Amino acid sequence: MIGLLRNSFYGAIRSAVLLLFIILAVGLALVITGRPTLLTLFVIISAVAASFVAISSFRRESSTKWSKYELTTPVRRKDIVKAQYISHAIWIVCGIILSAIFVALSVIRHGNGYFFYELRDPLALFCFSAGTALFMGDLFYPITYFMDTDKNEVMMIISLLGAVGLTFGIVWILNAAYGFKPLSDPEFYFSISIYIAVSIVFFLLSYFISKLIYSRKDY
Amino acid sequence: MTNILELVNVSKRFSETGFALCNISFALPYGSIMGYVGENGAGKTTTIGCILNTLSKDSGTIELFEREMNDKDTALREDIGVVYDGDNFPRYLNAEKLANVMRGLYVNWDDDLFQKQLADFKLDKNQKIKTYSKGMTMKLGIAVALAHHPKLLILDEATSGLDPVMREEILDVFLDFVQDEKHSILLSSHITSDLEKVADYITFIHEGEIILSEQKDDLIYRYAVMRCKFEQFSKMDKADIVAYRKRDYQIDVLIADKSMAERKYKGIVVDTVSVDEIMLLLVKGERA
Repeated sequence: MIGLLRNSFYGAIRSAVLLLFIILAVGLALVITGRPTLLTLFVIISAVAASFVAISSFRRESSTKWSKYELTTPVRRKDIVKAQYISHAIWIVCGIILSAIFVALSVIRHGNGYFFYELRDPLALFCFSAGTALFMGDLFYPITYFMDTDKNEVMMIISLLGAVGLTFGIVWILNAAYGFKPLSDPEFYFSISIYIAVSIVFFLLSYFISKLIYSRKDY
Repeated sequence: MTNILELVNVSKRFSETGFALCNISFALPYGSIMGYVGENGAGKTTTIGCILNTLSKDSGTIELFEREMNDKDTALREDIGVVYDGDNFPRYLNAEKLANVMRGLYVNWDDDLFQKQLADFKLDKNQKIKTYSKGMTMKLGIAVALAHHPKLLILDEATSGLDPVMREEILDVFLDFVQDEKHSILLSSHITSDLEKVADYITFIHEGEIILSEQKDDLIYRYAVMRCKFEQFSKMDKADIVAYRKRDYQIDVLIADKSMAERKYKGIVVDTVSVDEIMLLLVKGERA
Protein backbone atom coordinates (compact mmCIF):
# COMPACT_ATOMS: atom_id res chain seq x y z
CA MET A 1 0.00 0.00 0.00
CA ILE A 2 3.02 2.27 0.42
CA GLY A 3 3.18 2.57 -3.36
CA LEU A 4 -0.42 3.77 -3.49
CA LEU A 5 0.21 6.38 -0.81
CA ARG A 6 3.34 7.56 -2.62
CA ASN A 7 1.36 7.87 -5.84
CA SER A 8 -1.39 9.75 -4.05
CA PHE A 9 1.24 12.09 -2.61
CA TYR A 10 2.84 12.72 -6.01
CA GLY A 11 -0.58 13.41 -7.47
CA ALA A 12 -1.31 15.94 -4.75
CA ILE A 13 1.97 17.87 -4.91
CA ARG A 14 0.80 20.51 -7.39
CA SER A 15 -2.34 21.27 -5.37
CA ALA A 16 -0.37 21.05 -2.12
CA VAL A 17 2.04 23.75 -3.29
CA LEU A 18 -0.93 25.98 -4.05
CA LEU A 19 -2.43 25.17 -0.64
CA LEU A 20 0.85 26.00 1.07
CA PHE A 21 1.06 29.30 -0.78
CA ILE A 22 -2.51 30.24 0.23
CA ILE A 23 -1.97 29.19 3.86
CA LEU A 24 1.29 31.14 4.03
CA ALA A 25 -0.29 34.23 2.48
CA VAL A 26 -3.43 34.19 4.63
CA GLY A 27 -1.47 33.06 7.69
CA LEU A 28 0.98 35.94 7.36
CA ALA A 29 -1.93 38.35 6.86
CA LEU A 30 -3.43 36.98 10.07
CA VAL A 31 -0.18 37.31 12.01
CA ILE A 32 0.28 40.87 10.74
CA THR A 33 -3.30 42.17 11.10
CA GLY A 34 -4.49 39.95 13.95
CA ARG A 35 -8.13 40.22 12.80
CA PRO A 36 -10.41 37.73 14.63
CA THR A 37 -12.74 37.16 11.66
CA LEU A 38 -9.75 36.29 9.50
CA LEU A 39 -8.62 33.76 12.09
CA THR A 40 -11.93 31.88 12.05
CA LEU A 41 -12.05 31.87 8.28
CA PHE A 42 -8.40 30.84 8.07
CA VAL A 43 -8.77 27.77 10.30
CA ILE A 44 -11.87 26.53 8.48
CA ILE A 45 -10.43 27.12 5.00
CA SER A 46 -7.11 25.43 5.84
CA ALA A 47 -8.59 22.02 6.58
CA VAL A 48 -11.18 22.17 3.83
CA ALA A 49 -8.53 23.25 1.30
CA ALA A 50 -6.34 20.35 2.48
CA SER A 51 -9.28 18.09 1.79
CA PHE A 52 -9.36 19.45 -1.77
CA VAL A 53 -5.68 18.53 -2.13
CA ALA A 54 -6.44 14.85 -1.46
CA ILE A 55 -9.44 14.97 -3.78
CA SER A 56 -7.40 16.60 -6.55
CA SER A 57 -4.94 13.71 -6.41
CA PHE A 58 -7.83 11.27 -6.77
CA ARG A 59 -9.13 13.19 -9.78
CA ARG A 60 -5.75 13.27 -11.49
CA GLU A 61 -5.33 9.53 -11.02
CA SER A 62 -8.78 8.91 -12.44
CA SER A 63 -8.03 10.79 -15.65
CA THR A 64 -5.71 8.01 -16.95
CA LYS A 65 -5.86 4.24 -17.21
CA TRP A 66 -4.08 4.05 -13.87
CA SER A 67 -7.37 3.21 -12.13
CA LYS A 68 -7.48 0.09 -14.27
CA TYR A 69 -3.75 -0.61 -14.16
CA GLU A 70 -3.47 -0.48 -10.37
CA LEU A 71 -6.02 -3.31 -10.16
CA THR A 72 -3.48 -5.53 -11.93
CA THR A 73 -0.81 -4.82 -9.31
CA PRO A 74 -0.44 -6.87 -6.11
CA VAL A 75 -2.85 -4.80 -4.06
CA ARG A 76 -6.38 -5.55 -3.02
CA ARG A 77 -9.22 -3.29 -4.03
CA LYS A 78 -9.92 -2.42 -0.41
CA ASP A 79 -6.32 -1.23 -0.03
CA ILE A 80 -6.73 1.11 -2.99
CA VAL A 81 -9.75 2.69 -1.28
CA LYS A 82 -8.01 2.64 2.11
CA ALA A 83 -4.98 4.47 0.69
CA GLN A 84 -7.25 7.23 -0.60
CA TYR A 85 -8.93 7.67 2.79
CA ILE A 86 -5.61 7.60 4.64
CA SER A 87 -4.23 10.18 2.25
CA HIS A 88 -7.33 12.33 2.82
CA ALA A 89 -6.88 12.19 6.59
CA ILE A 90 -3.15 12.96 6.35
CA TRP A 91 -3.74 16.09 4.26
CA ILE A 92 -6.36 17.32 6.74
CA VAL A 93 -3.89 16.86 9.60
CA CYS A 94 -1.31 18.82 7.58
CA GLY A 95 -3.81 21.64 7.01
CA ILE A 96 -4.74 21.73 10.70
CA ILE A 97 -1.10 21.76 11.84
CA LEU A 98 -0.20 24.59 9.47
CA SER A 99 -3.18 26.70 10.50
CA ALA A 100 -2.49 25.97 14.19
CA ILE A 101 1.05 27.33 13.77
CA PHE A 102 -0.22 30.63 12.38
CA VAL A 103 -3.00 30.86 14.96
CA ALA A 104 -0.41 30.36 17.71
CA LEU A 105 1.86 33.01 16.16
CA SER A 106 -1.06 35.42 15.96
CA VAL A 107 -2.00 34.81 19.60
CA ILE A 108 1.64 35.29 20.66
CA ARG A 109 1.89 38.55 18.69
CA HIS A 110 -1.49 40.07 19.47
CA GLY A 111 -2.48 38.37 22.71
CA ASN A 112 -5.62 36.34 23.15
CA GLY A 113 -8.30 38.61 21.81
CA TYR A 114 -9.90 35.77 19.91
CA PHE A 115 -11.19 33.14 22.29
CA PHE A 116 -13.72 33.98 25.01
CA TYR A 117 -13.49 30.46 26.42
CA GLU A 118 -9.73 29.92 26.34
CA LEU A 119 -9.54 26.25 25.39
CA ARG A 120 -13.08 25.62 24.25
CA ASP A 121 -13.21 28.10 21.38
CA PRO A 122 -10.03 27.07 19.52
CA LEU A 123 -10.87 23.41 20.16
CA ALA A 124 -14.34 23.85 18.66
CA LEU A 125 -12.95 25.81 15.73
CA PHE A 126 -10.33 23.20 14.85
CA CYS A 127 -12.74 20.29 15.42
CA PHE A 128 -15.45 21.78 13.19
CA SER A 129 -12.85 22.57 10.57
CA ALA A 130 -11.39 19.03 10.58
CA GLY A 131 -14.87 17.49 10.78
CA THR A 132 -16.14 19.45 7.77
CA ALA A 133 -13.04 18.44 5.80
CA LEU A 134 -13.62 14.79 6.73
CA PHE A 135 -17.30 15.01 5.77
CA MET A 136 -16.23 16.29 2.35
CA GLY A 137 -14.31 13.09 1.74
CA ASP A 138 -17.12 11.04 3.28
CA LEU A 139 -19.45 12.28 0.57
CA PHE A 140 -17.07 12.72 -2.36
CA TYR A 141 -15.45 9.28 -2.55
CA PRO A 142 -18.52 7.01 -2.45
CA ILE A 143 -20.43 9.24 -4.87
CA THR A 144 -17.48 9.39 -7.27
CA TYR A 145 -16.81 5.66 -7.07
CA PHE A 146 -20.48 5.10 -7.78
CA MET A 147 -20.82 7.57 -10.62
CA ASP A 148 -18.60 8.49 -13.56
CA THR A 149 -15.41 10.25 -12.59
CA ASP A 150 -15.87 12.84 -15.33
CA LYS A 151 -18.57 14.46 -13.22
CA ASN A 152 -16.32 15.00 -10.23
CA GLU A 153 -16.25 18.84 -10.32
CA VAL A 154 -19.97 18.71 -9.58
CA MET A 155 -19.32 16.04 -6.93
CA MET A 156 -16.78 18.30 -5.24
CA ILE A 157 -19.27 21.14 -4.94
CA ILE A 158 -22.01 18.81 -3.73
CA SER A 159 -19.61 17.30 -1.21
CA LEU A 160 -18.53 20.69 0.11
CA LEU A 161 -22.10 21.90 0.50
CA GLY A 162 -23.09 18.59 2.06
CA ALA A 163 -20.15 18.70 4.48
CA VAL A 164 -21.02 22.24 5.63
CA GLY A 165 -24.65 21.17 5.96
CA LEU A 166 -23.67 18.14 8.04
CA THR A 167 -21.56 20.21 10.42
CA PHE A 168 -24.32 22.79 10.87
CA GLY A 169 -26.88 20.02 11.25
CA ILE A 170 -24.95 18.16 13.96
CA VAL A 171 -24.17 21.40 15.81
CA TRP A 172 -27.85 22.39 15.65
CA ILE A 173 -28.96 18.98 16.99
CA LEU A 174 -26.44 19.18 19.86
CA ASN A 175 -27.51 22.73 20.72
CA ALA A 176 -31.16 21.72 20.51
CA ALA A 177 -30.47 18.84 22.89
CA TYR A 178 -29.37 21.42 25.46
CA GLY A 179 -32.26 23.81 24.71
CA PHE A 180 -30.00 26.36 22.93
CA LYS A 181 -28.59 27.64 26.24
CA PRO A 182 -24.92 28.42 26.90
CA LEU A 183 -23.09 25.16 27.65
CA SER A 184 -21.21 24.35 30.80
CA ASP A 185 -17.71 22.88 30.41
CA PRO A 186 -18.84 19.23 30.82
CA GLU A 187 -21.72 19.80 28.37
CA PHE A 188 -19.39 21.44 25.87
CA TYR A 189 -16.76 18.67 26.04
CA PHE A 190 -19.47 16.04 25.76
CA SER A 191 -20.94 17.79 22.71
CA ILE A 192 -17.59 18.21 21.00
CA SER A 193 -16.80 14.55 21.72
CA ILE A 194 -20.08 13.58 20.07
CA TYR A 195 -19.21 15.71 17.03
CA ILE A 196 -15.75 14.15 16.75
CA ALA A 197 -17.20 10.66 17.19
CA VAL A 198 -19.83 11.28 14.50
CA SER A 199 -17.12 12.60 12.13
CA ILE A 200 -15.02 9.50 12.66
CA VAL A 201 -17.97 7.10 12.38
CA PHE A 202 -19.08 8.80 9.15
CA PHE A 203 -15.52 8.56 7.81
CA LEU A 204 -15.37 4.83 8.55
CA LEU A 205 -18.86 4.28 7.20
CA SER A 206 -17.97 6.15 4.04
CA TYR A 207 -14.84 3.98 3.66
CA PHE A 208 -16.88 0.79 3.95
CA ILE A 209 -19.45 2.05 1.43
CA SER A 210 -16.70 3.10 -1.01
CA LYS A 211 -15.01 -0.27 -0.54
CA LEU A 212 -18.26 -2.04 -1.31
CA ILE A 213 -18.92 0.03 -4.42
CA TYR A 214 -15.32 -0.29 -5.64
CA SER A 215 -15.23 -4.05 -5.10
CA ARG A 216 -18.02 -4.42 -7.66
CA LYS A 217 -16.77 -1.88 -10.13
CA ASP A 218 -15.68 -2.92 -13.61
CA TYR A 219 -12.75 -1.21 -15.33
CA MET B 1 2.16 -29.61 -21.02
CA THR B 2 0.70 -27.49 -18.22
CA ASN B 3 -0.86 -24.15 -18.93
CA ILE B 4 0.08 -20.86 -17.35
CA LEU B 5 -3.32 -19.48 -18.35
CA GLU B 6 -6.50 -21.33 -19.16
CA LEU B 7 -9.95 -19.96 -19.90
CA VAL B 8 -12.96 -22.26 -20.02
CA ASN B 9 -16.34 -20.98 -21.22
CA VAL B 10 -15.82 -17.45 -19.97
CA SER B 11 -18.80 -15.20 -20.59
CA LYS B 12 -19.45 -11.57 -19.86
CA ARG B 13 -22.37 -9.44 -20.96
CA PHE B 14 -22.59 -5.64 -20.84
CA SER B 15 -26.18 -4.68 -20.33
CA GLU B 16 -25.61 -1.08 -21.50
CA THR B 17 -24.18 -1.94 -24.92
CA GLY B 18 -25.49 -5.45 -25.35
CA PHE B 19 -21.98 -6.66 -26.20
CA ALA B 20 -21.14 -10.09 -24.82
CA LEU B 21 -18.18 -12.42 -24.59
CA CYS B 22 -19.56 -15.88 -25.25
CA ASN B 23 -17.94 -19.00 -23.88
CA ILE B 24 -14.36 -17.94 -24.46
CA SER B 25 -12.01 -20.89 -24.08
CA PHE B 26 -8.29 -21.11 -24.80
CA ALA B 27 -5.12 -22.19 -23.08
CA LEU B 28 -1.66 -20.70 -23.02
CA PRO B 29 1.09 -23.21 -22.20
CA TYR B 30 4.26 -22.32 -20.29
CA GLY B 31 7.08 -21.06 -22.49
CA SER B 32 4.89 -19.80 -25.29
CA ILE B 33 3.49 -16.65 -26.81
CA MET B 34 -0.13 -16.41 -27.83
CA GLY B 35 -1.30 -13.76 -30.24
CA TYR B 36 -4.87 -12.70 -29.53
CA VAL B 37 -6.29 -11.23 -32.71
CA GLY B 38 -9.52 -9.53 -33.56
CA GLU B 39 -10.93 -6.34 -35.00
CA ASN B 40 -11.75 -3.33 -32.82
CA GLY B 41 -14.56 -4.17 -30.42
CA ALA B 42 -14.17 -7.92 -30.94
CA GLY B 43 -13.69 -8.50 -27.21
CA LYS B 44 -9.91 -8.68 -26.77
CA THR B 45 -9.72 -6.08 -24.02
CA THR B 46 -12.81 -7.49 -22.34
CA THR B 47 -11.19 -10.92 -22.26
CA ILE B 48 -8.02 -9.44 -20.78
CA GLY B 49 -10.12 -7.51 -18.25
CA CYS B 50 -11.76 -10.78 -17.15
CA ILE B 51 -8.37 -12.51 -16.88
CA LEU B 52 -6.97 -9.69 -14.75
CA ASN B 53 -10.10 -9.26 -12.65
CA THR B 54 -10.58 -5.64 -13.66
CA LEU B 55 -13.87 -6.91 -15.06
CA SER B 56 -16.06 -9.42 -13.30
CA LYS B 57 -17.01 -12.34 -15.52
CA ASP B 58 -20.55 -13.70 -15.54
CA SER B 59 -19.57 -17.35 -15.85
CA GLY B 60 -16.74 -19.71 -16.71
CA THR B 61 -13.37 -20.30 -15.14
CA ILE B 62 -10.02 -18.60 -15.60
CA GLU B 63 -6.97 -20.30 -14.17
CA LEU B 64 -3.68 -18.48 -13.81
CA PHE B 65 -0.76 -20.65 -12.72
CA GLU B 66 -3.33 -23.45 -12.32
CA ARG B 67 -5.60 -21.61 -9.90
CA GLU B 68 -8.39 -19.07 -10.08
CA MET B 69 -7.35 -15.57 -9.10
CA ASN B 70 -9.49 -13.37 -6.94
CA ASP B 71 -8.91 -9.93 -5.48
CA LYS B 72 -7.11 -11.33 -2.43
CA ASP B 73 -4.50 -13.20 -4.48
CA THR B 74 -1.92 -10.45 -4.46
CA ALA B 75 0.95 -12.94 -4.60
CA LEU B 76 -0.40 -14.23 -7.90
CA ARG B 77 -0.41 -10.74 -9.34
CA GLU B 78 3.29 -10.38 -8.45
CA ASP B 79 3.87 -12.84 -11.30
CA ILE B 80 1.85 -10.96 -13.90
CA GLY B 81 3.13 -8.03 -15.91
CA VAL B 82 0.59 -5.94 -17.76
CA VAL B 83 0.83 -3.35 -20.51
CA TYR B 84 -2.25 -1.59 -21.80
CA ASP B 85 -2.45 0.51 -24.90
CA GLY B 86 -2.14 4.22 -24.03
CA ASP B 87 -1.74 5.85 -20.63
CA ASN B 88 -0.92 3.11 -18.17
CA PHE B 89 0.45 5.44 -15.51
CA PRO B 90 -0.46 8.77 -13.92
CA ARG B 91 0.75 11.49 -16.25
CA TYR B 92 2.11 13.65 -13.43
CA LEU B 93 4.85 11.12 -12.66
CA ASN B 94 8.22 10.67 -14.28
CA ALA B 95 9.96 7.29 -14.58
CA GLU B 96 11.95 7.90 -11.39
CA LYS B 97 8.83 8.60 -9.31
CA LEU B 98 6.99 5.78 -11.02
CA ALA B 99 9.76 3.45 -9.85
CA ASN B 100 9.21 4.73 -6.29
CA VAL B 101 5.51 3.91 -6.60
CA MET B 102 6.15 0.48 -8.09
CA ARG B 103 8.78 -0.34 -5.46
CA GLY B 104 6.01 0.11 -2.91
CA LEU B 105 3.69 -2.23 -4.79
CA TYR B 106 5.84 -5.14 -6.00
CA VAL B 107 7.91 -7.24 -3.63
CA ASN B 108 10.12 -8.34 -6.52
CA TRP B 109 10.65 -4.88 -7.99
CA ASP B 110 14.13 -4.78 -9.55
CA ASP B 111 15.40 -1.23 -9.75
CA ASP B 112 18.59 -2.16 -11.60
CA LEU B 113 16.62 -3.97 -14.27
CA PHE B 114 14.21 -1.05 -14.57
CA GLN B 115 17.07 1.44 -14.98
CA LYS B 116 18.63 -0.84 -17.59
CA GLN B 117 15.35 -1.05 -19.49
CA LEU B 118 15.00 2.75 -19.38
CA ALA B 119 18.52 3.07 -20.80
CA ASP B 120 17.88 0.42 -23.47
CA PHE B 121 14.66 2.16 -24.49
CA LYS B 122 16.38 5.57 -24.32
CA LEU B 123 13.84 6.96 -21.85
CA ASP B 124 14.76 9.91 -19.66
CA LYS B 125 13.87 9.02 -16.08
CA ASN B 126 13.28 12.67 -15.18
CA GLN B 127 10.93 13.44 -18.05
CA LYS B 128 7.27 13.71 -17.06
CA ILE B 129 5.10 10.96 -18.52
CA LYS B 130 2.64 13.57 -19.82
CA THR B 131 5.31 14.72 -22.30
CA TYR B 132 5.98 11.19 -23.59
CA SER B 133 5.01 10.18 -27.11
CA LYS B 134 2.79 7.14 -27.50
CA GLY B 135 5.78 4.98 -28.34
CA MET B 136 7.66 6.17 -25.25
CA THR B 137 4.61 5.45 -23.09
CA MET B 138 4.45 1.92 -24.44
CA LYS B 139 8.17 1.39 -23.87
CA LEU B 140 7.80 2.62 -20.29
CA GLY B 141 4.89 0.23 -19.80
CA ILE B 142 6.99 -2.67 -21.03
CA ALA B 143 9.93 -1.63 -18.85
CA VAL B 144 7.67 -1.56 -15.77
CA ALA B 145 6.02 -4.85 -16.68
CA LEU B 146 9.39 -6.59 -16.96
CA ALA B 147 10.99 -4.95 -13.91
CA HIS B 148 9.19 -7.06 -11.33
CA HIS B 149 10.19 -10.37 -12.94
CA PRO B 150 6.73 -11.61 -13.93
CA LYS B 151 6.14 -15.11 -15.22
CA LEU B 152 3.25 -14.06 -17.42
CA LEU B 153 3.08 -10.93 -19.55
CA ILE B 154 -0.30 -9.71 -20.72
CA LEU B 155 -0.05 -7.06 -23.38
CA ASP B 156 -3.08 -5.30 -24.80
CA GLU B 157 -2.06 -3.71 -28.12
CA ALA B 158 1.31 -2.96 -26.56
CA THR B 159 3.24 -2.72 -29.81
CA SER B 160 0.76 -0.53 -31.65
CA GLY B 161 2.45 2.82 -31.00
CA LEU B 162 5.97 1.70 -31.80
CA ASP B 163 7.95 2.31 -34.96
CA PRO B 164 9.09 -0.80 -36.88
CA VAL B 165 12.66 -0.63 -35.51
CA MET B 166 11.53 -0.43 -31.90
CA ARG B 167 8.87 -3.09 -32.51
CA GLU B 168 11.57 -5.42 -33.74
CA GLU B 169 13.61 -4.78 -30.56
CA ILE B 170 10.59 -5.28 -28.31
CA LEU B 171 9.69 -8.51 -30.08
CA ASP B 172 13.24 -9.74 -29.41
CA VAL B 173 12.72 -8.87 -25.72
CA PHE B 174 9.53 -10.96 -25.77
CA LEU B 175 11.30 -13.91 -27.38
CA ASP B 176 14.06 -13.72 -24.74
CA PHE B 177 11.40 -13.59 -22.04
CA VAL B 178 9.87 -16.95 -22.99
CA GLN B 179 13.21 -18.62 -23.75
CA ASP B 180 13.45 -20.59 -20.51
CA GLU B 181 10.01 -22.22 -20.92
CA LYS B 182 8.86 -20.84 -17.55
CA HIS B 183 7.41 -17.61 -18.90
CA SER B 184 4.57 -16.88 -21.30
CA ILE B 185 3.01 -13.95 -23.08
CA LEU B 186 -0.55 -13.19 -24.10
CA LEU B 187 -0.28 -10.51 -26.73
CA SER B 188 -3.35 -8.90 -28.20
CA SER B 189 -2.54 -7.03 -31.38
CA HIS B 190 -3.87 -5.73 -34.63
CA ILE B 191 -0.42 -5.98 -36.15
CA THR B 192 -0.52 -9.54 -37.36
CA SER B 193 2.99 -9.33 -38.83
CA ASP B 194 4.30 -9.03 -35.24
CA LEU B 195 2.41 -12.14 -34.28
CA GLU B 196 3.74 -14.05 -37.24
CA LYS B 197 7.25 -13.27 -35.99
CA VAL B 198 6.88 -14.25 -32.36
CA ALA B 199 3.66 -16.09 -31.57
CA ASP B 200 3.47 -19.83 -31.02
CA TYR B 201 -0.32 -19.81 -30.91
CA ILE B 202 -2.82 -17.49 -32.51
CA THR B 203 -6.38 -17.11 -31.29
CA PHE B 204 -8.94 -15.19 -33.30
CA ILE B 205 -11.88 -13.50 -31.63
CA HIS B 206 -14.81 -11.98 -33.47
CA GLU B 207 -17.95 -10.41 -31.98
CA GLY B 208 -17.17 -11.88 -28.59
CA GLU B 209 -16.58 -15.43 -29.77
CA ILE B 210 -13.43 -17.41 -30.43
CA ILE B 211 -13.54 -18.35 -34.07
CA LEU B 212 -10.18 -20.06 -34.36
CA SER B 213 -7.31 -20.98 -32.04
CA GLU B 214 -4.34 -22.79 -33.53
CA GLN B 215 -0.59 -23.13 -33.43
CA LYS B 216 0.93 -20.46 -35.65
CA ASP B 217 2.96 -23.00 -37.63
CA ASP B 218 -0.22 -24.88 -38.42
CA LEU B 219 -1.85 -21.70 -39.65
CA ILE B 220 1.08 -20.85 -41.86
CA TYR B 221 2.06 -24.29 -43.11
CA ARG B 222 -1.16 -26.30 -42.88
CA TYR B 223 -3.86 -23.73 -43.54
CA ALA B 224 -4.22 -22.38 -47.05
CA VAL B 225 -6.51 -20.33 -49.21
CA MET B 226 -8.02 -21.75 -52.38
CA ARG B 227 -8.87 -19.37 -55.21
CA CYS B 228 -12.01 -20.98 -56.61
CA LYS B 229 -14.36 -20.17 -59.41
CA PHE B 230 -18.01 -20.16 -58.41
CA GLU B 231 -18.56 -23.51 -60.09
CA GLN B 232 -15.57 -25.11 -58.34
CA PHE B 233 -16.75 -23.74 -55.02
CA SER B 234 -20.22 -25.26 -55.42
CA LYS B 235 -18.65 -28.69 -55.88
CA MET B 236 -16.47 -28.44 -52.79
CA ASP B 237 -17.04 -30.59 -49.74
CA LYS B 238 -18.46 -28.19 -47.13
CA ALA B 239 -16.62 -30.03 -44.35
CA ASP B 240 -13.31 -28.86 -45.86
CA ILE B 241 -14.25 -25.19 -45.73
CA VAL B 242 -13.29 -23.13 -42.69
CA ALA B 243 -14.46 -19.83 -44.17
CA TYR B 244 -14.96 -18.28 -47.57
CA ARG B 245 -15.23 -14.86 -49.07
CA LYS B 246 -16.82 -13.96 -52.37
CA ARG B 247 -14.77 -11.62 -54.55
CA ASP B 248 -15.64 -10.17 -57.96
CA TYR B 249 -14.46 -13.11 -60.07
CA GLN B 250 -13.60 -15.81 -57.56
CA ILE B 251 -14.22 -17.11 -54.09
CA ASP B 252 -11.37 -17.28 -51.59
CA VAL B 253 -11.79 -20.38 -49.45
CA LEU B 254 -9.89 -20.91 -46.24
CA ILE B 255 -9.08 -24.56 -45.65
CA ALA B 256 -7.36 -26.26 -42.73
CA ASP B 257 -5.34 -28.85 -44.64
CA LYS B 258 -3.32 -27.63 -47.55
CA SER B 259 -1.88 -30.97 -48.68
CA MET B 260 -5.30 -32.61 -48.55
CA ALA B 261 -6.74 -29.79 -50.67
CA GLU B 262 -3.97 -30.07 -53.21
CA ARG B 263 -4.68 -33.80 -53.55
CA LYS B 264 -8.46 -33.55 -53.48
CA TYR B 265 -9.10 -30.45 -55.57
CA LYS B 266 -6.94 -30.67 -58.67
CA GLY B 267 -6.93 -27.58 -60.83
CA ILE B 268 -7.70 -25.11 -58.06
CA VAL B 269 -4.97 -22.68 -57.05
CA VAL B 270 -3.98 -23.29 -53.42
CA ASP B 271 -1.97 -20.46 -51.85
CA THR B 272 -0.23 -20.25 -48.52
CA VAL B 273 -2.04 -17.82 -46.28
CA SER B 274 -0.91 -15.06 -43.95
CA VAL B 275 -2.41 -14.42 -40.51
CA ASP B 276 -3.76 -11.17 -41.87
CA GLU B 277 -5.61 -12.94 -44.66
CA ILE B 278 -6.94 -15.59 -42.29
CA MET B 279 -8.33 -12.83 -40.08
CA LEU B 280 -9.96 -11.10 -43.05
CA LEU B 281 -11.50 -14.35 -44.28
CA LEU B 282 -12.81 -15.22 -40.84
CA VAL B 283 -14.13 -11.75 -40.09
CA LYS B 284 -15.27 -10.48 -43.47
CA GLY B 285 -16.12 -13.83 -44.99
CA GLU B 286 -18.72 -16.41 -44.16
CA ARG B 287 -18.12 -19.53 -42.20
CA ALA B 288 -19.23 -22.88 -43.50
